[in-house]
Amino acid sequence: MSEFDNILTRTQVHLRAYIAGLGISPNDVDDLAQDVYLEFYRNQQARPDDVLPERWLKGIARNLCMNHFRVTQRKGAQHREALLQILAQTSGTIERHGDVSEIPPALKDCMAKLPERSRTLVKFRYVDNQSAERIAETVNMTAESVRVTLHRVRATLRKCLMQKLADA
Amino acid sequence: MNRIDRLITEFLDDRDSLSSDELAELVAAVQIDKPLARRLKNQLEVDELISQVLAADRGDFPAQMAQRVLDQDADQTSEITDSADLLLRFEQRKSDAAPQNTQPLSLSEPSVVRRRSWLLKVATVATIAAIVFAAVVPDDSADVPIVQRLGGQVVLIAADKAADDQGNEARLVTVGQTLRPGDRLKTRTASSVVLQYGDGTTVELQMDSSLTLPQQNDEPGRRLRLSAGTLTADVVKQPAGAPMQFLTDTGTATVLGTRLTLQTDDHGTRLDVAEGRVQLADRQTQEAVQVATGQTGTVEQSGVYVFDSGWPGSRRDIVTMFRASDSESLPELRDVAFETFRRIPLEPRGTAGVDSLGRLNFDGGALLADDAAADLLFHMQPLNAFSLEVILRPDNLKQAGPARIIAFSTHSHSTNFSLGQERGQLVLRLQTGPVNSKKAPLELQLCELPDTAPRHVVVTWREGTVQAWLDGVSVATSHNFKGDLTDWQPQHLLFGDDFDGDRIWRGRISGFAIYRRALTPDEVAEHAALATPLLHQLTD
Repeated sequence: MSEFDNILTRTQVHLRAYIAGLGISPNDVDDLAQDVYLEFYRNQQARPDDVLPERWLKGIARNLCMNHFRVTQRKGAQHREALLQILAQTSGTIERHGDVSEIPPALKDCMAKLPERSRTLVKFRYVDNQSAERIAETVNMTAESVRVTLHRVRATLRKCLMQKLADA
Repeated sequence: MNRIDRLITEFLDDRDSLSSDELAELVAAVQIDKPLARRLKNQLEVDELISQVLAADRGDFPAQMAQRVLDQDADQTSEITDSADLLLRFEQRKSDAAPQNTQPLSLSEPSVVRRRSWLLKVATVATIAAIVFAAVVPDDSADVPIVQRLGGQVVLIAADKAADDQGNEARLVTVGQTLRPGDRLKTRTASSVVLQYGDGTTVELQMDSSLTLPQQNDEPGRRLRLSAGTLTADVVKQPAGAPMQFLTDTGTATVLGTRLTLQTDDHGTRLDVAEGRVQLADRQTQEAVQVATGQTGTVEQSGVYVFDSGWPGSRRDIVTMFRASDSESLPELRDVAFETFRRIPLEPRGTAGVDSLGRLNFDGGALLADDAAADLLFHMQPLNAFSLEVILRPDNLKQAGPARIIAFSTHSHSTNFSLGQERGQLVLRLQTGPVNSKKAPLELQLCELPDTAPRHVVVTWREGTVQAWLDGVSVATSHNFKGDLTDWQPQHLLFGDDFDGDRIWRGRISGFAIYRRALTPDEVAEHAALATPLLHQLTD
């Protein structure tokens, strides 16, 4: 396996989470992540020896994400850029944690412990890619209740994940 | 849920859902509230991780990326990178817009394109390298302190020396000496050193301590790293956006201007704030609390906590609590999503209410906290242990029913839990599984109340066992409460009565807390001691 493959395998979960953590739409995260790795691949020699690949990748990601808002001219692009800047300066939790291979199984364990109703909402949201409005119609809740419940579920899962990674 | 929380949940649902004004509002909120920004980032990251695990089309990112790299290698004939191409087009637009008397660049000639694209490629790489490099290379202009005062001998291990534990390559500090990034100071027993910055900020490193001025400082503001021992600091107001940070192995204290004491050891970090407000964060999880004047913050293995002096001490693992005070004498409830505490309103029934000393006073009515019921159920249902702590004084030893002191129930046969008084006895009712909906909760007589004096009561449940303490002394143990809380039902949270209104308790409460774990006997004893002032509040 080449050095690039090693870096890709080691960093891809975290880098995609980092990009999402800048406020990028989930539909665009993987495309942008690919652009980041391609830029990294093309210019591997430009990275100073004392700068870790993870840090270099994040620098590229930040610039490409910023450019993304400008190029796509999303609604409120200026505010999205401002939000990105703030989030880029905010320390995340997941990105700092754990062997990348530990995250998916740990998260699956945590999801298995959710109450049935929460698991159902998670399935509608992340497997079926449904909006809160659509889920609300299905489960006879208001859209706001769905959003709040999913918010709580994510908080619960994050806490569980952190505990599992700390224990690992 | 406040407006900003609602905006965040909507943004999480759809990144394009907020209007420009709403986005501006959200940006303004996270700009001034760092913990809020962190919570938003945490939500975005977890949202992404769940998607990576569950979304069918996202599971094979490395393979997709490998294919993209192969495509790139196959496309070597083109020397124009995407980024360079963007710049090239930008240059083209500029030249298109140039005045007519300027010779436009002809982009149709291949040799020109190749040369220019090569130059642009170099420029692009250099630009990106410069941006990234600027983010990781320290600023040499960072201000540094001088040694203002010395007590005993203090060792300096200079930045450019490789020191060992025996102090090789180290020398003694002298008054007036300027320290540099990377320098490390070590005090010994009965020695100390006071450092002063140009703005008047002072830091005193106390005995048996070790302090380093970090080499790298890629964020604005000063940083000091305490690797062992204790320091006290008097920090003058720092520039906005450039706080002073004190790092330990486990915590980060972020200061804009304050007096504080910071300690660190193998168990974690403790911060006491004498004046001002300090943000204390767990360095591993980045969870943070604001520690204000008179408060203590700790970073422990299990998390980061802040508490006032006095009962109940740390708020670690508290789900809901109440402490009588002259102001804001309402129960607080831990927010399910954000782990912060919010006040919960109490709806009086009959003559119950909060008196002038902030105590909950029951002489013929109840206080209903229905706003908390759903969240309380959400908190407690998954638990396999909890504790209930109450500081109370009954009016008499004749009331019966049992008379409900605290109840999470609707009526006698539909109860998640209740703490009651049956004449001279304190009684616990607790519903644990496996739950048969027709089965009444189990009842346990906890202890005898010898009189109507103020009492500190603790009940814990874990692994099927209930234990009770009265004034810090163990009074009851039962192993009959097997099962779990998963089948608890939505009920009403009341103080002083059952929801259907025929189990009135008369007395006063100056404090209560529900925890999401079983307190240890040592903690119960400590809490009983801390509760003394609240017991005195019940003696009039």
